[in-house]
Parts: sequence; structure tokens; C-alpha cells
Amino acid sequence: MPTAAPAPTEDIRETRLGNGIRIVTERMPEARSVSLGVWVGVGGRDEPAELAGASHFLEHLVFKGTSTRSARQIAEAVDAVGGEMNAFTNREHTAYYTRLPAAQADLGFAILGDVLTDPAFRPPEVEAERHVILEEILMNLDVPEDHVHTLLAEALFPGHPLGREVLGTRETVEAASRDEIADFFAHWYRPRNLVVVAAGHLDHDRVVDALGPTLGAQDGGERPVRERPADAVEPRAVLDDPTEQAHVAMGWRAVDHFDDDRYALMVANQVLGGGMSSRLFQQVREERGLCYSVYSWAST
Amino acid sequence: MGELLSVVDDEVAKLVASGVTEGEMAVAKGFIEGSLVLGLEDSGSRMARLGRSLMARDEIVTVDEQLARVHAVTADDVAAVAARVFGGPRALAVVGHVDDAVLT
Repeated sequence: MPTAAPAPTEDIRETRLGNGIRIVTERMPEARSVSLGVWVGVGGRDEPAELAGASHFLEHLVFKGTSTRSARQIAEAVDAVGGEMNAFTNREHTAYYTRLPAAQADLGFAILGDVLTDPAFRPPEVEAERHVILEEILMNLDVPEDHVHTLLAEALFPGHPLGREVLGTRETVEAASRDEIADFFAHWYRPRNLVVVAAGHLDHDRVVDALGPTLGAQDGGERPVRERPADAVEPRAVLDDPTEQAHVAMGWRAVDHFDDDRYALMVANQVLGGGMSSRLFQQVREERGLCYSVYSWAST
Repeated sequence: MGELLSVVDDEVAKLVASGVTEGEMAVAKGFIEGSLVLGLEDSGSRMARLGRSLMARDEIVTVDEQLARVHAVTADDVAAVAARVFGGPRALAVVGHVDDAVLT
């Protein structure tokens, strides 16, 4: 039985620079790697409806190069040390991260610092990436097990930005201009809306120093102001599609990430549909053979 | 499809009406606590754990605190949160060709 084995003592340190940026590190002396993440407090729910998908579009463009580095140079530098560099966008934040051998950690600080303060947004690259994202949207529409979650979010938060697909729509992604995306970056990617986190074989003060010339040299910024969604949900969202299997998702509005009930919800979710011993897996699949895959999840 | 919907609705109703057993509590907490501990060996998961917590609540929660919060959950807490969540309206999303009459 996995029980609460004694967790190693955590060596977490924090520095807030004068410009408001928060830098948090966790030292893992036994590790051989360093993971660096820059977390930006903006996501799909913070976009105006006509710019839906802007956070995600921007996430793709950031790696396309800066005034001093091309996309190819960035990719080669990371590949040349066996590292990884990627990003993701969700409804409330966007994160950029890299994992590198500890000896090459400075490369990660330099590249992420550069791409997040000086992205070039060169028009031909914006247009090429627009097509990549339109393909990503079509891919989602072609995969019913993904698309059903898009429909469920729309039904749970009707008319609210939380109900929108983070990718945006074909219309909004086609319409977004290079300057609108650059303005979105200029507004939200500022120190007071950024948190830098590093973990691994590192020295806190060196991390702080390494970020000084890039992220440490910016100023300003604010956190987005967010509106609570109304309580009403749309009871049904059905897409009649001639697939061999039907994909079904049920949802209920749950608790927010400040709510003390969130840990009890994790346990309730685990019992209901969290694994192969869960009630749903046992009843729906093992006992009755009604499906191949069944699970539940909880999100705050 | 009709059978699937009624089985899931029944399981949800049972969770609200009768809660969870001590055995289920032990497995569920063991899973959550164990997964958390297994994630500690990788610098990427540690970075992501801190980042998520800072984004969501602007605070750093240590692994020990997280483990203690999971450990402290009681069967009554689970029943209470189930009643709270599943007492609200349900949304149903379907992709596929299904008879409208079975979608309740």
C-alpha cells in the first residue's frame, strides 16, 4: 500500500524582485537536471470574445524567435544538450518550461528570459503558425473524445469565457491580427503577472542573478480581474455525429481552488471514477461491459 | 446508451445517499498520496506543483501540507462535498449518433 512515506525535506526559497516578479526555487541536491518554468497569469478566460484563442496563439509564437535568436537556433540549442522546452495554455494561465541537464541550466534561463521579453512576432512566422493552430482546432473537432469535453465546458459555463475552448475558433484565429497578439503580449506578460519557478540541482541566488538581465529588467503589469460565472448550466449539448462509438460526458459545477472542500472532492472523485478500482470502472466496464473507457475527474 | 446514463446516475445518487466505505477511503487516499510522492523525484513535476499552486492561490504549499490535507479528509467530508456538487444541475454532452429519447 502506498502510504505517506516521509517526504524529503523541501528546500524552497523565494525572492520578489523590485519589479514585482516572483522567483521561487526548490533545491534538489540529488537531481541531475534543472526544470525552469515561467508562469503567466493569463489564459482563455481573460480574452475578449473576438480574440478567443489569443493566449494559445501567443504561446506558439513566443518560440518562433526574438530579435537576436531564430526559432531554429532556439530548437538547436536545446536539442544539442538533450533538453526539452515546451509550453501549455489553459483557461487561467500559460506556462513555458524547460528541463535541462543541470550544467546547462544557464542556457534555459537565457532562452526563456529572451523569448518572454523580446519576441519578434515576424509576420511570415505569425502566418505560418496561424495555419498550425487552425490544424490543431480541426484535429480537436476530429477527435470525439476531445470534442465532447469542449461541448461539456460550453454547457457548464454558458456564455462565460470559462466555457470557451482555449484554442479559440476557426473564425477568431483566422481574424486575429499580428498586432492584436503583440498587444496582448505587451499587456499581460509583465512582471506583476509572472511567476518564475525552478526546481532541481540549482542555487537560488544564481537563478535570481541569471534572470536579472531579461525578466528582471521589465516593469509594470497587473493580474487579470475575473468574473464569476452565473450558476445556470445548459442541461444538454448534443452533436449528432456518425461515429461508431458515442462519447458522453456529464458535468457538475464544483468548488473553486480556494475552497476547503477541494481535498474531499479529490477523494470523492477517486472513489467514483479515478482508477481501475473505482465504482464507475467496476460497474460500467467490468460488470456490464458497456464501454471501453470510463473515468471521472475533478478540476478547481 | 440509456443503460449507461442510468448506471452513472445511480452511482452518483448512491455516492450522495450512502457516502463511501472505509476501505474505499483507504484506497483513494493511498492513491492520491502515493501519486504525489512518486512525482517528487522529477524536477519537472516539482516545478509544476509549485507553479500550479502559485497561479491558483498565490501561495506555496509544501508536499507535507498537501499530504496532511488529504490525510485529514473524513468519510463525512466526502459525503458532504458529494451532496454539495451533485446537488447542483447536471450538464450532459454527447458526440455520436444517439436516439434523443434516451437523453434525459
